[in-house]
Amino acid sequence: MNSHERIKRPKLDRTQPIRSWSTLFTAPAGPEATTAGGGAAHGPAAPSWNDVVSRSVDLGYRVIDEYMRQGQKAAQRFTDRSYTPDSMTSDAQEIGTRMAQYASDFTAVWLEFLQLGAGNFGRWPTPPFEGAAPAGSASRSAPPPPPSAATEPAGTDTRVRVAVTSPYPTEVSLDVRPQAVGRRLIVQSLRAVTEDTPRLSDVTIETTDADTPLTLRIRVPAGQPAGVYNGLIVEEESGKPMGTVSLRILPE
Amino acid sequence: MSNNARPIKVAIVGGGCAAITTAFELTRPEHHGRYEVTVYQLGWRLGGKGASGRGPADRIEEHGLHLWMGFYENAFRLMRECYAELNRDPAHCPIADWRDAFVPAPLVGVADQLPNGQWSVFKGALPPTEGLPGDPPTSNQRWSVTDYVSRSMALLRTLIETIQQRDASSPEAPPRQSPDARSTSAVLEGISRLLQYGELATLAGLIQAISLLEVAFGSFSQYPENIIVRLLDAVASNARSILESRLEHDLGLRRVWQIIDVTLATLRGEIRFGVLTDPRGFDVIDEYDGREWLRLNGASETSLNSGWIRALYDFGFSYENGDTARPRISAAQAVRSVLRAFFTYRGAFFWRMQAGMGDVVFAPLYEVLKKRGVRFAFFHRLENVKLADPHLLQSGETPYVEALDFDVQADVTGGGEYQPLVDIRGLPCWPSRPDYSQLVDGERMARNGWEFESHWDRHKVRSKTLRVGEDFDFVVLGIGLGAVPYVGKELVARDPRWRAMVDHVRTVATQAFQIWMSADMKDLGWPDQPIAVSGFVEPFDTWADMRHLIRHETWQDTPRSLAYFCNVLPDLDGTDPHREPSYAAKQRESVRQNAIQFLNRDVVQLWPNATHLPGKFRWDVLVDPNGTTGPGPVANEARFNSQFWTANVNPTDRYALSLPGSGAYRISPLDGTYDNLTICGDWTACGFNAGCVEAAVMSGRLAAHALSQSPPLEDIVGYDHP
Repeated sequence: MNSHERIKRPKLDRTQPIRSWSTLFTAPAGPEATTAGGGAAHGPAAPSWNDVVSRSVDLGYRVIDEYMRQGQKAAQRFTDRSYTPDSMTSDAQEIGTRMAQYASDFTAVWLEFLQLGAGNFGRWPTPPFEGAAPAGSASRSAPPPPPSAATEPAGTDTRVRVAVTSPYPTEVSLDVRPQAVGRRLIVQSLRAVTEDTPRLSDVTIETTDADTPLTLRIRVPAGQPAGVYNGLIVEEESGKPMGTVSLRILPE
Repeated sequence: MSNNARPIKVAIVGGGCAAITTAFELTRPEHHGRYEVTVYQLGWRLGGKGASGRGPADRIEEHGLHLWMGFYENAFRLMRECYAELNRDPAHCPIADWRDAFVPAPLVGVADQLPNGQWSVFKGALPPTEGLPGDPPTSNQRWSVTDYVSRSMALLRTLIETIQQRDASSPEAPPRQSPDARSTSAVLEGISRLLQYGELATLAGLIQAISLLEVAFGSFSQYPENIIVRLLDAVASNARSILESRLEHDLGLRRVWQIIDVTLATLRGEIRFGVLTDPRGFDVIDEYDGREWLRLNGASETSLNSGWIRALYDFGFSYENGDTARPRISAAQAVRSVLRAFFTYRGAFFWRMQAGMGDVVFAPLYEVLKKRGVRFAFFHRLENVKLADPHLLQSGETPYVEALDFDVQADVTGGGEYQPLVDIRGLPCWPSRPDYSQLVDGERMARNGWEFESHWDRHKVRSKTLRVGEDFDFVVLGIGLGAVPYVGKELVARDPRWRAMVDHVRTVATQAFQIWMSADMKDLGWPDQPIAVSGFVEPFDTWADMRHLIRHETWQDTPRSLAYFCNVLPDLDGTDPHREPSYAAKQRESVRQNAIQFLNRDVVQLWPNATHLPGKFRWDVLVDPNGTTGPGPVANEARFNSQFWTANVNPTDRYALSLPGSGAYRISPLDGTYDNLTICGDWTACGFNAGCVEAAVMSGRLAAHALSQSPPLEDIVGYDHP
């Protein structure tokens, strides 16, 4: 038949469902943003530089805010003449722990940022709602692998080897900034959040050059209590933080 | 779409849930007759995998066990609209309204094997929830992973509080602060304190931790992910150490712990695999098998082999090639299904149909569609979807369907339309056999045993070809996926995605049997209310007590109990079903043997009084609709032959699996590869990629949208879902 006479299907606005993360970086959609069917009325916000940047900035400010808050708190105690040696020790411990945590968080976000910057979009496929490829031809990039309990690659350019000697099951989380490679690094003793738990002092990190993986070695002695132990990786010369190590000793 | 004054002719091939939904949508009054629909159906009845028929004693004979779930929003909406439009008179029809047709069934059971080898059924009644399925969506309904996570946290807290209430030695939980009252820094401080001071070593501490996590997940972006993961880990390890020593001797506690364990693993996985942030939603974990993914996220082997998880696989027939040693389901669809099932059901978790699925679903739909002017061409077997010659396409023109080739299995006497329904005490129903008296030469067909629904019976009275522009403008291919390679050879050959779909989206045969018994369930040793149990022993892992249907049947000796069983059916090794004429008969015999073995050997685990000797089922309790009932010379295994069983091996009857990694190979009804063709069925990419009524209805609505842009995609509940 003449194709001009043949009735054709209408062109569709979209051909795939919206499965997106509509509420992660933004406030939950208000009633006006949702439809009667419960779906988003418009396409979702695609993951973008701005999202990661804003999250990084948010965390960065939180670190600063925390410093300021702790400083104000300390100043207040001095003013109140309530600052005893005991409370100073406690505050220092708390601040140290929290700062290490925030530094670790910030590093993780920062690395995510770098991955995007390097064009590593494996985790972020083309949004499904505009200019989408036909179903089936869509990107089938492998899902992100689960973080390994043994090694936690710090980024696309940083190779890390982790060796743990322990009579107990353990999990290691490691964040290392890429520029740490090739520098002389030291790891502070890993300590638990409670003061009376013995620290893990047999921790070393070795780095020679950019072509050789960093090697982190941790030895856990018998009798070490189960729990989470944290430590900072710093540049030996400048003392600048270069990453964090977190070791979790699981109960037997 | 071109402006055209004449009605657009739509040929819908297939009469299952999806295809009939498309017909329903395209013939809504709002379209003002724009679409002229004809349904072409193999054999004498609609229903596809949901077809049922009335057999001897008007007994209901199903394709399998069908329970409707309380989250089947689209399916319930369809049926509610259908019954409203049908406007049956309750004085003359026993099922006049949708509430007559569907009744809440809150009691569910999961079978677990005990260390001594015995099986035990955990029974639970899920509480009624606000609203009814198919009600207009609530304004606060949001399909987000974050929302599900917070619901999971609430479940966790409730479960641990339940344990705490049983445990007098545990200190009282501290009063929970209102989540809204907590600032971000207060929550972070609370988490830090819990991690520091060992407060998690008590149930009260765990509850406190979960309350904090609920707040943190509520505004996930404000909290560092690894703090949340760390607290989740701490909760899991502490909960395990608190409860582990008590699990072995406390079966109830063990079952609660298994839910806690799996929920914690799911939460951990949702963070670690980026489900909360990835635009693909749960599809980001589609490549993983459900158990594998939970294992990666810390679930224990005991929990992974629990009845809960086995029931998840059983309920979706998730066994590759029908091999129960190869359980496989996409983690994405598994998690999506569980979250939808447990957190979004309305009214009741399960709903039972009050007659056969054909009677309750397809007869009303048929009647409404007939009133709307839809034509039904029964006894039409599709043989080939013929594409236009690619050499004749104009530059840039999309390939399209040029013709549909059918075998006509029978002609109707007088040339009119076949009247398919029978009246069973005021209820229009589908019979289990065609009405041969309406067919030309029908007596001979009956005598020679023509099997109109069999893939292997190729009888026909003539051929028919429908041509584009003359007989149809659009085609809706609503057949089962298993039949696509046979009738859609050109579609598969022309497009690599179609090739990939038929290669990767696999199907499986299923088996089912039904027995009517003179003993009631208490006599058999089952004292409880009607229940559906899954996770039981193979070869029939799922049982439903269907005694409520007996009153709709017509028995001389009325049975006092009725049980349905179902499962996958392994393919026969080394056999190409298509080339083996006796394949269906062999498989049917396999099902019969499986059922007899199951009744002799296994059913006693559910019904302790079902055997009179070890390994000997009480065959005398089976009620024969045509013969002897009670004890007598034929009260042996042969009595089973009077019951109903089925081997669903026809290609179009095979169940579509959700294997890991297969989701991306599904093709959407919205796909435009072939210009005048759309597809529908629970095997398509319909947003909810599972074999069920809801997926089929969603798919049917999508197919209608593809042709008419109606219904709006936003009205297809759960289509836009993570």
